Amino acid sequence: MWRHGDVMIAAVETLPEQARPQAHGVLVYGEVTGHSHRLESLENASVWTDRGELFVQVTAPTRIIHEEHLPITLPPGTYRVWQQREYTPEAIRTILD
Amino acid sequence: MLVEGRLDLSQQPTLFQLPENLTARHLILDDCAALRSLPAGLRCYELSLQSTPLTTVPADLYVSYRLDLTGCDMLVALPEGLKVGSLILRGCTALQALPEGLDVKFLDIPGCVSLRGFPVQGSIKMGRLNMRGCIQIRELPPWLTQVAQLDISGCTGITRLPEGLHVSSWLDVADTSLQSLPASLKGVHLRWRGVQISERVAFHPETITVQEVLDEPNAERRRVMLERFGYDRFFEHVNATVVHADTDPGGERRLLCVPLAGDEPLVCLAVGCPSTGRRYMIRVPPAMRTCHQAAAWIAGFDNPDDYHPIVET
Repeated sequence: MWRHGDVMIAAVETLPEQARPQAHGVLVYGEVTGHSHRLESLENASVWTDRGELFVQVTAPTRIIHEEHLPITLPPGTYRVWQQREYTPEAIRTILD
Repeated sequence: MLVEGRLDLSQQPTLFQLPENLTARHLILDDCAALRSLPAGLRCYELSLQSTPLTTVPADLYVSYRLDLTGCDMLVALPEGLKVGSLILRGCTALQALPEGLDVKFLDIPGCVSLRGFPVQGSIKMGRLNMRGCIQIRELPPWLTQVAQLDISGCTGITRLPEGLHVSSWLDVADTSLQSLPASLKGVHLRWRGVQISERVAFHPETITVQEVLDEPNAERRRVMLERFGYDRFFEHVNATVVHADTDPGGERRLLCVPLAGDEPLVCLAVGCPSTGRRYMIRVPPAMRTCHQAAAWIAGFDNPDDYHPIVET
């Protein structure tokens, strides 16, 4: 399991059957800063979505980059990606970075 | 073909085609994972296409009441001159532009993170514009002059609203970059993620005092005031209990607690970012007892034993 700022990445066995490929490599846009957590290149990796969940498929080592965080290199595999959460008494929110 | 009443074909994994010139009053096609296009001549009162892999809809599609494309994350374009009562594009993350000549009464586009702006010509008549979390939109269109409800919360690129805009019911401004309102919006009912607040709390949080936060009798409003005041500043001014302390790759971590009258205690994890060194204060459930338990909860794990990151940057 990796933590890239407020973004969590964990290896999973396979992509969900109905996952759909995305044309971009953005994992999460920083809502406050406008920065993004993203794949450095789409040559060997792709972003997939399935009912609101986010996945990354990597066929050769690929870096996750962001303007403010040191890069993380993901080895080949399939990963689930999600954001950290913050508690409020009314609701649980994703963190705004 | 004419279908009176409701035709529900949702969650049909093999449905990939519908007949041409179909008229149906209520047509539900949610979660049809193979439906990549719609037929020519489709006419509906209500059409729901949630979470389908459509990339567009036909130019001759006619929907009079409600067109729901929630979660269509492959949708990249809509036809010019699209006219419908209520258009729902919630979470259409690949959509970069709305069609020219768009004509709607209600427009819901929350979470359309790729949308960069509004068409040059268009109309949203009298109803609601919900654009929560449209982080790339920098301004509202000049043709939008009158709307009942306007939610621009999370639109971090918005720094000003157009002079002449009127909002008759409420305006939600949480997490925008607005610092004031135009004269045409003076006295508007302001909200912060649904909680009614004053213009001062919204735009001049530096004037909020610790005592004012503690004295606010309405728990929801107090939570917003606390958030505007800043958890980090608040902890500097009150006598917080250190529940637990340790270190992680970002440096020292502290789990801090402040009791609040008539409300659950404020419990926050104070952490540092391993890359930038910046300090953050993240609110966690009040039952947390250790920094690791709180960090695991923040990462999405209710059981702290499940949380063991190998790299943190």
